[in-house]
Amino acid sequence: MSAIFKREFISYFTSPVGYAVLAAFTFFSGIFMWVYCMYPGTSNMSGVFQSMFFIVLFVIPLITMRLFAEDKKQKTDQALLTAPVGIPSIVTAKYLSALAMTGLCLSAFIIEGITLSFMSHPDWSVIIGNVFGMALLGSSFIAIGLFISSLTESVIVAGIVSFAVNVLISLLDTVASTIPADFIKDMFSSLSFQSRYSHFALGLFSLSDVLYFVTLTFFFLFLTDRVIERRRWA
Amino acid sequence: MSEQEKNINEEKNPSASNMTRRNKRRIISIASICLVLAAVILVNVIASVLTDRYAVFTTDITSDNSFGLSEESVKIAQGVKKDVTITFLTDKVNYEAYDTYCKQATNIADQLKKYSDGKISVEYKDLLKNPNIENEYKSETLSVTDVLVTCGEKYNLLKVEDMFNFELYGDYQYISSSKAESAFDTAIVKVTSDTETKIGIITDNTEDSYSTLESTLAANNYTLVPFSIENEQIPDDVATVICYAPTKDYSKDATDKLRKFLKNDDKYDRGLIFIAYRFEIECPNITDLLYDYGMKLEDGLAFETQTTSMMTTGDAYRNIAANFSSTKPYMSNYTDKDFPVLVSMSRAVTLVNESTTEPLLMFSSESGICPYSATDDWVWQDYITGNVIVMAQGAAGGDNGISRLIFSGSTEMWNSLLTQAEFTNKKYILNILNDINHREDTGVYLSEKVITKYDLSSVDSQTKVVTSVIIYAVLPVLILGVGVCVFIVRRRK
Repeated sequence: MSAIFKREFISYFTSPVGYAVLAAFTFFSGIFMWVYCMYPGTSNMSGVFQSMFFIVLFVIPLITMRLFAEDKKQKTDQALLTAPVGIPSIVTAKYLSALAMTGLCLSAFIIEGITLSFMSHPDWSVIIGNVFGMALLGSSFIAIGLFISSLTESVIVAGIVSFAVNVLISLLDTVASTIPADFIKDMFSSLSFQSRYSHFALGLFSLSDVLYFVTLTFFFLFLTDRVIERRRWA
Repeated sequence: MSEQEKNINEEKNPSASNMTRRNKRRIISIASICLVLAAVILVNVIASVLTDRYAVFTTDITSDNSFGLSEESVKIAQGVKKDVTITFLTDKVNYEAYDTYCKQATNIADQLKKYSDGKISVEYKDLLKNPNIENEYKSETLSVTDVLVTCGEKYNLLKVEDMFNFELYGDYQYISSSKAESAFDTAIVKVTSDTETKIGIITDNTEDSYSTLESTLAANNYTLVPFSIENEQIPDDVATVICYAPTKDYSKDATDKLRKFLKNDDKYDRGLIFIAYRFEIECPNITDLLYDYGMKLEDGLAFETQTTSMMTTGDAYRNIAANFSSTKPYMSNYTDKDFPVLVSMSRAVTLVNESTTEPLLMFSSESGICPYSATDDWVWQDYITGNVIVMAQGAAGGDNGISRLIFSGSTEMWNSLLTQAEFTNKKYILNILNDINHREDTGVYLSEKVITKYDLSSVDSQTKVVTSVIIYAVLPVLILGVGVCVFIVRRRK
């Protein structure tokens, strides 16, 4: 499993994807830091985290799109499937490599927090909590991306569909506001990534939000496992 | 079919056997997916129910508990015995989209609900989609930003200005802090309270407005009953009378009525609040009444020279009276005992009988009294007496009870300055009235919550620009540069 993890993680930096993703993430978080912290003169990074939600929405499909689709296209998946390692291990290794890449992106917030510490006293508990929240959000996006990547051999299709699904789930609360039926409205709102994540951005940790992201991640990883398993026996 | 027969069949028809195995695997796979999905849904439903019902499953990680409830609010929520509904007059998504402070307000409402053991419920009803709400509250001008707190027939309408403090940045008005928690608490206390206390207010010779005082008291289940002390009797059902900035002296009969009111057939237990007019008036009868309660009205306005006690540097007459009496009456629920009251254009008073009187609010040791007779060339240094008293109380009574005559030199302190969120005028005044009227179920005044503190405003803009450029330009370029280098090295290999 560690060999697959290493291979996948290193592959981000042997192709332009890793650098492009890191640079884009740093660029946008820096821009938002200027807009929400430096310019108005506050060390409260909530605005940065809320805005970065949409960047994560774009960036994660770039990280996940090639995880299985590329293997399938290059036919290297055969080697992977016949390797003496269980499918859950393969899925987990790929998931962890993408999560590590996301973690690397999130380190930009720590750099920004340290920078703000030189000027004021930012609320570190909120920054750390937000990084954790964004890691959970990223984790769910990765699991969805991984699942979609396992369904296709086109990297582009995997990326676009992942992005579309992420957008759809994220904006469910906006859709919900147009629905007259309260039950459906509440259900849609509670499924929305954005409404779940906004609590973290404010500095609120709730059991249901954490479990939502964790269980969603688990569910999509499980689905990915099933898809690969099916392919192994096909 | 026996195992042996099965094996023979599989040998005869291997593709059929594969199909069976594949179908089995498919069924197992689908069943396991359904099982996992059901487990995921179940876990989330349980977590949502628990989080929705119990506050313990949500943690506010902000350092100053910006989204959490204070102990006072928790007590109020836990003490609610009737069904209370907090209704936001728009959708949750729309309301929260206005500002982070609105999210904080919805979160506070949710937490009040969680602590109330099902007594408080939170609803979102879009005013535009439910026009019947407007018909229900015809006397009110409702807006989508309003919040209704209802309990049976009683309600309290919270407007945005009740929930938040605003500041101007150029032409743009933004929320600078939130008082939503206090507003919810006060509204809940008001709608659930069965007590409605009346306070008499003398209207004779009163020019100054007391509309803010009236609305503040109304929000706390107090009703002001205006009456003429010259032509009417003091209403029977009031235990407190306010003499609000009379511009002329009362008649002897009127002050005798007030004396009799305070004596209350030797039962005492009454309160008279005398708020002085800021300009000089001839008032021998009022002066005598105050003297009876150990106070002498000074012929001048209190001024301050200590800049730290001035509201605005250079304005000697608009000051922070943080110098409370040593016994600190009416401050039992203050968490910060030095939290200031703002007093403006105040007449001064001195104590003539220290055994029955006590100062309530004083200016600093560098304050003085500017006499009404002062001319433009007066030397203020000559008039500094220190610790000028701007609010005091005298007491009379016996074993049955004590009546209090409270003198306040500032009209603004009791009206326009009640809206100054950074000062505790409102809380202090309510404490006085609650104490006289033996009320405990009125307004809650917690410190305002500030989510966004502008703590980088002192950092020079050049530093901020350079730092930002390093983060959003230099760092990404460096990362891309490393990427290009790796790419070139790999190509050469």
